[in-house]
Amino acid sequence: MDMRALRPFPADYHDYVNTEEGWVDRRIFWEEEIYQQELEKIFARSWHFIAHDSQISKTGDFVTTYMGEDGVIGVRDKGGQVRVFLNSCPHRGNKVCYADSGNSKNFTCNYHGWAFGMDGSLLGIHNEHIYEGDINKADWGLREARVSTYKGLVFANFDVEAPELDDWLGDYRWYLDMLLDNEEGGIEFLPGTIKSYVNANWKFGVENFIGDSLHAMWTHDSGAKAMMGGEPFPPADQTDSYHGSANGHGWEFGTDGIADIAILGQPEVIEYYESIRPKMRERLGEMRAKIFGSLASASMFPNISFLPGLGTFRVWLPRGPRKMELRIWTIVNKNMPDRIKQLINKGTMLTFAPGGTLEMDDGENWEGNTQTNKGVITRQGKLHYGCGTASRIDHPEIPGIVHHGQYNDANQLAFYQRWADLMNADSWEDIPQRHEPRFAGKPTR
Amino acid sequence: MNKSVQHDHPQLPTETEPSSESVYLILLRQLNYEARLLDELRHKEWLELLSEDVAYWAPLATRRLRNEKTPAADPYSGFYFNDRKPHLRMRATRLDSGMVWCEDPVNHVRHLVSNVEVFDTDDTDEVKVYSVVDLHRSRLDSKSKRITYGRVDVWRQTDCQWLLTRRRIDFDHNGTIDSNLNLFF
Repeated sequence: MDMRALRPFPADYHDYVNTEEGWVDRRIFWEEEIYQQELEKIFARSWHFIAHDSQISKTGDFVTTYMGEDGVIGVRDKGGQVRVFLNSCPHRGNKVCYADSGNSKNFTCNYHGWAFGMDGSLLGIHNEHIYEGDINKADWGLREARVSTYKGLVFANFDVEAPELDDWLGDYRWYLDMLLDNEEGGIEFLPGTIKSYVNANWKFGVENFIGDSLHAMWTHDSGAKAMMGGEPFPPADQTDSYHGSANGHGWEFGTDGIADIAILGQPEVIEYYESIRPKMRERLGEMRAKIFGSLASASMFPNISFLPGLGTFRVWLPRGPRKMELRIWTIVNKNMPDRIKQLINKGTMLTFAPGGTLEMDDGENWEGNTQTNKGVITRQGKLHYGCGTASRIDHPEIPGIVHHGQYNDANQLAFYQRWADLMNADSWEDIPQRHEPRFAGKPTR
Repeated sequence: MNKSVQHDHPQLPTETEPSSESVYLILLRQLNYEARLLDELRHKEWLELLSEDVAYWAPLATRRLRNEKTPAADPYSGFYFNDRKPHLRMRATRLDSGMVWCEDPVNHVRHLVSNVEVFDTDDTDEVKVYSVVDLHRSRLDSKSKRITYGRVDVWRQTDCQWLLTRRRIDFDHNGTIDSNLNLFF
């Protein structure tokens, strides 16, 4: 029996996301057909986080990761550029690198010994003489992606038609500068990648960080009290807090400059940030110096998230529609004293890592959100995303689509709208610009 | 040596020779008792088995090639746990608060402790103990997980009892396979 005959899949992906009424169709968190479309229309066309410059600083330093379900290697070549290649041998398809990270001049396939250089070219083949001119090695290198960086974050994209990284980020750079450029020297990633596997749809992680401050007060009640000496989260402040969104990327935030940093449970880190706050004002202006460190969370489309001030940075790698691999790093400002870096590291591991007092509350919620949709009746329902939909404002300083009040579903809906825009589009010209950019072609700091 | 010094980078002592059989039996009994306290969620009693200067840590696993020449990352840079007694007390308090929703209803947990070896160290009060744990955890419907890991402990003999003073946990998984690590190992 063809179930689609009973309940057809809409051809227009905006039918899964209603921004007016504020709901989302549950099937986008479950169906294999929709997931395959996500891999084609979103993951194969987006700019993906590969590494931070500090993680692969020397020639031959490499990491392996995924762009969608496509395994890739990011390696710093002899000229100092990061190159990104498919981690799959063009002979029979095996991976050419099984390590998470390391330093290597070449990558050799385990199957027949095809060896590739830091530039992706096919250098040699084990017992190459057997080919007797049957192969032109110059034609059989590893497939290479476009690479671009923003303030130390290295991104890659296989779509030659995709906009430049700066345009993809657009006005979101105004926000991102708070994370990457709040102090001279920028940021660095501390060593160590934490991985965990969660039986949840990848979008639940992204949408949680992009705008769901509401869950924190309930889900994380025990964790917050543990970290803050029995004190719960501060009362919800809707008066001077916001949702900001640009091109599907989002940042929800307060303006007290301190609440997220306080969750680390490290008073010295608060003191440090207060000591650099005057300079931060000079660098980023009064508004952004007030935002950085507040109760906040953020995601970049499609699958990167972070907590500015708290120092956790992560990607949600899709592993089918019902499973994801979470990779987590700690980020610090490069010019911080070592002791402050260590305290931030301790704080992030105690809070937002698989052993962390706050992280541990989330995973099972997202698993439940996903796995209940196994029921066909359950899956027929919609999910409510209507909180604060009427709160849109124009703000003189904050760019993008701005909503008043950080307890809101606005950023989540903007994320799903961007999701539908890309799912529908056959070409980049078909993808609408959802707000008037303020910084097109201009630096944000 | 001042045993109360708190190290950010806890060390394990070198073993000298296998312990006496009587000490071995005492430690075996202690590990089994400890496992039962944890399985029965008797966290306060478990905390009493830990010395005040206890270090409890779980480094990250990274897949590196055997011929990798660059030094491995500092194992304390990223970690699952690097706790001291106040952290462990905080975790226990949180778990017992009744507000940890993903522990309500409670998980069924069994620590199966095996491969126990006990060695003397240069400190006559302390022994080094190796063990392997097969941890079974289940909750809600048929969902169950098995996490295996090795442990290297230091147990210290005091006037009245043996106390755990160091525990390194080495998970046998390249990533966390459960949605949380809301328990003691």
